[in-house]
Amino acid sequence: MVNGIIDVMSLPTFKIHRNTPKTSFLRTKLEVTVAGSVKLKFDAADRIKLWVDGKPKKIETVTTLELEKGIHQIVIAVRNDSETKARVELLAGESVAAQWK
Amino acid sequence: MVNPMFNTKDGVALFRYGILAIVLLANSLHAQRNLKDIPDTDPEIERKSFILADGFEVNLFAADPQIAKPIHMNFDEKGRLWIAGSSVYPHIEPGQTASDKILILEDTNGDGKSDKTTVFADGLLIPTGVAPAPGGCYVANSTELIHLIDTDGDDKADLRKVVLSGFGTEDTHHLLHTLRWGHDGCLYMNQSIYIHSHIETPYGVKRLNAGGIWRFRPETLELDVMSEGLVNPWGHHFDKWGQSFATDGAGGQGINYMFPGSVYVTAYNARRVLQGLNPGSPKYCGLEVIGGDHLPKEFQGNMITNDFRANRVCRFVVSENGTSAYSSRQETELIKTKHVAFRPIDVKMGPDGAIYIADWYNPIIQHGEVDFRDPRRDQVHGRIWRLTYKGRDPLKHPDLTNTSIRELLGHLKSNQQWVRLHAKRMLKEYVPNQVVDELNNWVKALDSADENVEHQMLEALWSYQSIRQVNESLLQKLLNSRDHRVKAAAIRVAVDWRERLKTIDPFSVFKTAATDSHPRVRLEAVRALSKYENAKAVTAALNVLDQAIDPFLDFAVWKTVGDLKDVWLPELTAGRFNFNDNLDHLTFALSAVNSPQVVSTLFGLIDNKETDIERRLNILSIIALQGTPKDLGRVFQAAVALSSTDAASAAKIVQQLSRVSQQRSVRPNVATPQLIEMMKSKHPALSAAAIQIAGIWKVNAAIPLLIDLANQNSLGAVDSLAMIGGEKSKQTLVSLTSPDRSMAVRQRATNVMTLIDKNLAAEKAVALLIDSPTDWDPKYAIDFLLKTSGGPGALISALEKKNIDAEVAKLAIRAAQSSPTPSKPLITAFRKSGKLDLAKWIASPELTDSLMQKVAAKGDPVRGELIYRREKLQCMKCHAIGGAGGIVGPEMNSIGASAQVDYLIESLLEPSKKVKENYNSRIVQTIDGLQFSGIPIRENKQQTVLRTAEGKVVSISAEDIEATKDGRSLMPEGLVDGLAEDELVDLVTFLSRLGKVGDFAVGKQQYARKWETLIWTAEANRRMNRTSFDSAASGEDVFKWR
Repeated sequence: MVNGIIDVMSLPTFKIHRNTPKTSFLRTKLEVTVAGSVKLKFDAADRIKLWVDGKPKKIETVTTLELEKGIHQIVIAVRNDSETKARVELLAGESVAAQWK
Repeated sequence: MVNPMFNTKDGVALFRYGILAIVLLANSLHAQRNLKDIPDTDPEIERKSFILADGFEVNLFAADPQIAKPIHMNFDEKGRLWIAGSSVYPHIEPGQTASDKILILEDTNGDGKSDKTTVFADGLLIPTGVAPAPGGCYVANSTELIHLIDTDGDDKADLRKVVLSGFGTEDTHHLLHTLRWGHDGCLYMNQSIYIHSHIETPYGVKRLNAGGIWRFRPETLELDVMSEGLVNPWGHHFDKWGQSFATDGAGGQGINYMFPGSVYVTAYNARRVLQGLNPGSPKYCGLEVIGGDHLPKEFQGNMITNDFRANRVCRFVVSENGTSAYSSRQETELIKTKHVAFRPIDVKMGPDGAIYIADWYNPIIQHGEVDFRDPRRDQVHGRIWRLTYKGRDPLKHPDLTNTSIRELLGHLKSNQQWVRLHAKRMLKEYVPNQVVDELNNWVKALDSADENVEHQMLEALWSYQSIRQVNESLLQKLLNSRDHRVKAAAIRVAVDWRERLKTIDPFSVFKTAATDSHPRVRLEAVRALSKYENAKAVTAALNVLDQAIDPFLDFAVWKTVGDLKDVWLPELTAGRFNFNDNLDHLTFALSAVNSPQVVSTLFGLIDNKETDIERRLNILSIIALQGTPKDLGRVFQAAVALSSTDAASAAKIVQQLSRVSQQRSVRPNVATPQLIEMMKSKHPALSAAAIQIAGIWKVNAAIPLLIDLANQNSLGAVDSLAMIGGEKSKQTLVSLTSPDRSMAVRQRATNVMTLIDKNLAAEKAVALLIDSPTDWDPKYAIDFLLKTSGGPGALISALEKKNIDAEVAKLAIRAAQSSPTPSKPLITAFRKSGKLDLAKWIASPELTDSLMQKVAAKGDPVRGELIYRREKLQCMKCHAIGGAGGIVGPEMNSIGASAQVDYLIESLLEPSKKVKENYNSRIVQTIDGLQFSGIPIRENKQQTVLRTAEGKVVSISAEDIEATKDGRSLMPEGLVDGLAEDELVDLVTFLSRLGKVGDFAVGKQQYARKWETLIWTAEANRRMNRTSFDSAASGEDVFKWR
């Protein structure tokens, strides 16, 4: 959405085991121009899992990633069993030069 | 010949292109209605609506009736503000007298408000730029740059000189504009996409077709193009170190870094373009790099520009990032408001350190897509706003007239850019020799311990440049600077002086600088080397490749190598020059030129034992792009040689040959047995590539094998049979359309049959429409018929007295509406065959009124956004918001703030009424009778490149083009026909909120908006079941993303 909220309810869901919640997966790219710290702010962080370049990362509301220069793949899994206002923001002012691709 | 079946990128059949694009444009049919949205014109009401960045306050500097419709402004050496305004814009009415003015606004008592307005010149026709100069001003007056002079000191122009003429006049908001004095004493001027200028100067005719930035020295009448491209670049300014930045009033990439020879989107005949620093931005007008003692530290060097559509004054922080270019990020707006008539279009720092905003004040803006005579167009108001920082006093500024040389030189140390700029400019009023003596002494007396000493020396260097006097020792000092910003600026001056230098060897300076430790110095050096017409310059420029490269630097080298092609290429082909045997340099250089002359050298490289396979593939690709048919035959032989040992590489070569054979319309003679062997390869990619090229090259001998393969359901073979044609191919295709075949083969055979027999294809297509499942999209079977001359007629005949399912008919209608030239009789025939009583929105004044009332009363933008994002509606496919979405149509970031609701409604219902600049489609008819439509993204002598409604890039060789004509909007009519009234109201409500202050404005927050979704498949679910969620992030093929 314009305000960055992901329309989670409209996404395809996966339920891989009887006991795991319905989950949706999204991916995007982040280009880092200068190597260093990048801060991402997650709305609904407790319902999101994160992978950067294929590797799982611990997620907090503000997650700091140390990234090399280049394009990085960001994958998130969002728990999709009730209304969730998920959103990911690049905190540009607190990060090295980076932008969503 | 051109082959319509494959696009240039991935060989995917073009059956899928021709769909929808939304070009949301306003039309004006019933613009007189509903004038209720016109706000109260009281400036105080407007001022109170402003939401300001923390720390700022704003006051009205000037307003109507003193000024009207300010377009452009600049301060003079006395601190007075000159305004070019136009009540005539956007177009003079028949019989109307041109009455536009140049005004001078003065704050005589220093209270921050203009208290004196002088009409300096009257009777002008849409002046789009003003640059004051002592005793007068330069004005961009339609096709001319004129110098208006006041000879008797009464602040009225009494002498008018045409300085330059021949600027294009195709579009009044693209005319010569954005006049700006540079630090080097030159006048910089911009023009936009539709303008074609041919200017006679003492040095020959200078030409600029489409957008770009001119650099003009009035004293000598030297005129050059500094940069090319950008759609409508109404903003250009320099940072403290002389580097140029531009904004684009119809582009979408925010701040753009400009340097000599830089080329951006829309540039004429461009083969390659650069990208801006903020992709996914709205359109911006005006640009000022701010700084000085009135503003706090965090604002120094910030760039201010205007989102005129969304009523915002925006702030960017542009910073060094270790490359030759910059990073740019948006910060909180200086001003935002819900006041729809606030239209900030120019921004300048005043002599008092405040930021001045020119407010065009209009609820209706632009004109390409809005009626010239819409009565809501405001012709009389206009404001200049003045932003100051609370708690910091305005600066006291000197009057730089009647100032001695010594005092002017003292001002070069000022921290205020207005003071430094005008001090340099006023030095030009003195006899150069007098200035030189004092300037020499001033430089000698500079304190070497001062932390700003190098910037002071740079100001001195620019002063010498302004008065056209050379100071080699100062230049040498700055060329030796450890500060890359100083060094880069010094190189730019050295380029200007290169033929007048006696003790400095400029070539060796540039050559050394091309190996400098900082990439920006290397970039300046490599562009400087383009001035030398010898092969050594190319060798020196290519040294840049030996260090880290970035896109801007890569472009600069590519441009220089291309600029000097006529110098080094003959030397290379004659064997007198070989890039010092450096294969990297040679390969790069050869790829930068578009010439068959390079081919023999390239073949030599392939034979070189040191050339590895990766480079060999690269070289073969370049040969394919540039070589003759015979050369392409040799490239194919290289693929044959590799096919048994390295089939993957062989496949890549053949794929590239397919692409270029279509793009360039060339076909080599090849040994067919080898090609047929390749078609039988067990390597899937190689056999697919060979099957495809057999069709493109029309290899008759391949038909028997193609028939076998087609009967085994090879879609590639089906395509190739159609391309080759002939009776046997036709018979095979007929058999493939029978109902016992799979739907994929059947629809493919039906579609490509069009290439052989239109009537038969139509007959088979209708048969398919009759017995197809309702969820099947018929566009894949009728796409070629829709694009072929006579195709719709054949379909109409075939539909006669036939009934098709209503749902299939709806989809067929949608496909027909998306075709290059939609046939209304065909749409009627589909409707009849489907017995459709399809709900259809028909534009009328009554409907628009009714919808407008409902939008105001009950429209829900949140629901509207969900409708906008529905896949079926396909808005997102063509339009982006905040960088997320397609690029076929304009960005929608601020459509709601720039267009009134009635325009939005009528644009949805009648999209081709008015079309946004740069989004007019082009229809290209090929010699084979096929039609392509798309937005032209590049046109040159070799080819036309279109972006189709599906966002695919298609190249059509110039040789294959029978005719071209301007098309309509790519957005098909009827897109919203399936919506219920409530849904349409909500959609319009959402669009009307886009860009306005609130939840639907793309702000400075950098949210991730461009997501791909993992599609559910049983296989993907199973894979995760057996592993973990981690596997979804692994990039495995089993996971499909959309």
